[in-house]
Amino acid sequence: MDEARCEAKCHGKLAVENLRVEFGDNTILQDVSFAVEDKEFLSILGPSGCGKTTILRVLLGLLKPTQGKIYKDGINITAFPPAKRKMGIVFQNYALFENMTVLNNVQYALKFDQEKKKDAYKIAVDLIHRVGLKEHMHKRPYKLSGGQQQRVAIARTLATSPDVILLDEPMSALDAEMRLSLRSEIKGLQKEFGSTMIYITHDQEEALAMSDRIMVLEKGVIQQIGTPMEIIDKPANTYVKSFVQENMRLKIDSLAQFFNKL
Amino acid sequence: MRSDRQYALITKWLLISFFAVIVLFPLLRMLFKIAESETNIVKIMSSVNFHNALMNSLTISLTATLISVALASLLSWCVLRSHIRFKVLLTILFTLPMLIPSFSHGIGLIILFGKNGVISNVITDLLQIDVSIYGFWGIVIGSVMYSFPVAFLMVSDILRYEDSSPYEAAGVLGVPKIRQLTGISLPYLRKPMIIVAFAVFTMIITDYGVPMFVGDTHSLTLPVMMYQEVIGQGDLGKGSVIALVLLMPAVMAFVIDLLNKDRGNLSFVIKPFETAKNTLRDLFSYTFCGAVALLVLLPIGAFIVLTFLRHYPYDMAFTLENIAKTFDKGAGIYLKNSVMISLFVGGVGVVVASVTSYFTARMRGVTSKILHLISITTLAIPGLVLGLSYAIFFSPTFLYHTIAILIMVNLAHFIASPYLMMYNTFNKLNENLEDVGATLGISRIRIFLNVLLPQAKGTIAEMFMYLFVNSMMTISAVTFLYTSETKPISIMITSFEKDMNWEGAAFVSLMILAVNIVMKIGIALVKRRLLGSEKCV
Repeated sequence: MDEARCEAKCHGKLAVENLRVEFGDNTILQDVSFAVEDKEFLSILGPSGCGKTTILRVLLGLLKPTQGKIYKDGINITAFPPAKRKMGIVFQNYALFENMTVLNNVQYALKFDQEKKKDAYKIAVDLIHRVGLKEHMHKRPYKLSGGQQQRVAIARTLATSPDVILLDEPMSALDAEMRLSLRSEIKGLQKEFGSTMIYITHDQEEALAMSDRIMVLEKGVIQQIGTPMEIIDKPANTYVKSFVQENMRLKIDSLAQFFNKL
Repeated sequence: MRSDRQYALITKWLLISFFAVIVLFPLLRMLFKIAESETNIVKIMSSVNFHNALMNSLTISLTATLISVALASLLSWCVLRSHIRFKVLLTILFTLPMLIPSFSHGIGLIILFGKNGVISNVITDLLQIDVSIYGFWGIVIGSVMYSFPVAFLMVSDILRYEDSSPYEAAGVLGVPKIRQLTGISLPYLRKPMIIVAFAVFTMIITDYGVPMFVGDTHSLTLPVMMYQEVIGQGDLGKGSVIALVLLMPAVMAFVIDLLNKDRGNLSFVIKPFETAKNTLRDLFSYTFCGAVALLVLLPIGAFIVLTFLRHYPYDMAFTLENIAKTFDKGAGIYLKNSVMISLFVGGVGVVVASVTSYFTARMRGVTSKILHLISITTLAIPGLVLGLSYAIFFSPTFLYHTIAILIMVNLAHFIASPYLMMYNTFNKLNENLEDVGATLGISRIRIFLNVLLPQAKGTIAEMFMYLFVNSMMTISAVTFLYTSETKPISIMITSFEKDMNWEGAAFVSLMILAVNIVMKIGIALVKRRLLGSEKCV
């Protein structure tokens, strides 16, 4: 616990200080503090109901914390509305605008941006090329594969050039093979665009494979923040240890099943 | 600059006020009327007339509901679980009666089986017996004809979404068919069927079109009694008391429906039925569906016969005189009134239902809940009751005797169903769209207009059609409210009934049917154009 607190300072790309969220008598988040460095890939890992989606909603400004502060580039943004925070989101189900083409999905938000309005088309086309969807530009989302839809969602977010991109379990709707290939795809995009990413997942293997650092969350309390190696080698407490091992065992079982099927 | 949240709150309260004015206030005013007119509720309710009417209403409605639901169930089963052809055509035919007023069903029966009726004459000639449709069984038959299309659509929906896998599993385990019926079908069907039965029962017990036409003095029902009290005696107090009683079954159905909200199907993947080959079953389905289709077409055929023949059965020459006479009596103006009212109800209704369901389906909060409840409440109010409450509430205002009040009463009467259509559509659309919009700097209003509504085009077309068709044919809701200038075409049927002008009534029924069919086809074409091969909700 105390170790986790020490991580939090008001520097880095994003810093969260003593965040607390309560609904009535329920405490969803208890004094959560952490920092994300520029261009870092941080995973928030925990079982469902641990409070990870709540963190995401608070960071985005969709939910007001009971207490605590959020800093971005050293500026307190706790009271900022979502649009002013320059944070992008890729939801689990992507939430694409199904009635629009890929191009319009990506450039739609730019049309309401006074500065970028003129270049909206150029910016969108450039992004679509860079995420590798050139030939799908005029298609509607339902004609694309799950992975392609995810790239549309990422491009749509990138169009507004956010400082931090949050990804909310983006792969949980996809099958095992797809997830493997998408892992490297997301990492590739992060490198290419030099983005700071916060990746929310309950899947340990995903977190271990992709992250620079992992934050393990349970019942609204940070259990440990560390590099994948630290999490495996030096679990901070029995919860982290059992959670990692338990999940790894399940993973290995399902992998074994997967190979048996082949 | 106001924020999204403030705009939303203002609009929500505007909508709540709107519903209060078009539904709640008139109903409350009607209740006060009972109190202030010193109407003795106990005296009315304990009178012999009331008691008889209540018993008639109950026995007729129960009998007709049983027959209607049974007929509809067998019909849906035939259409959905057999290999017969022309399924689309049959479905269209079975739902055709939904496009004409209940009064037309009454007229149809009289034309066919009344004194000198198209069929009763044939029977009398052949068998030398007198056929009389008037009375208990006449009302039952008419009520069944008027209500079974609704039951058919509801039951079809239930059967269509039934999961076939339990039956397959039972088949593999060797469970006999009869045990499959009692062990799988009945438990699954019980709740939805109760809802269907309640809906049909409510529809029948509050209808006065059929009983007014084919009823006799021994089969007076509550709605007819209410109509006579209000129109004949001008006794609004007594009418209100009966209205209160008529409100009961609908309120019960409403409450049961609310309590059953979590009746959702628990299996996520619904495996459709693969119908086995069975010639006997298909043969039966053909015969049964054919017979029902014929019965449905019979009254429509009779309308055509009566409209275009000089004087059935004595003078069988073709004539356009009946049509000319009807137009002389103002059919043109009344038709224009009706179309105008229906277009307005459709347009305004689509806007109100879309905005309301946006708030209730896609925003949380107490006001959203109030709004949801108030908009589905209208589902429970019979047209006749609503019409009477309007007559009482709005008579001191300038709105009374205008066409606006007819538009309002139809809106109040029919808004709940289109509201629920849009509510379901909006619920199905991705729940995170507004949140994505918020982070991208796109306001809720823009998401609503540019993302949500375009994906609900099909539903919008459906809503418009529902509102238009129903406003076109309603009589009950407008019966206390029209004037000679604002008269809708459907009312002509009641006036013709008084004059025993069956030809005119037949022609008006045909006109309403024709307009509604044209609208249905139009909407089908628009939908095809709008949606094309697109994925739609």
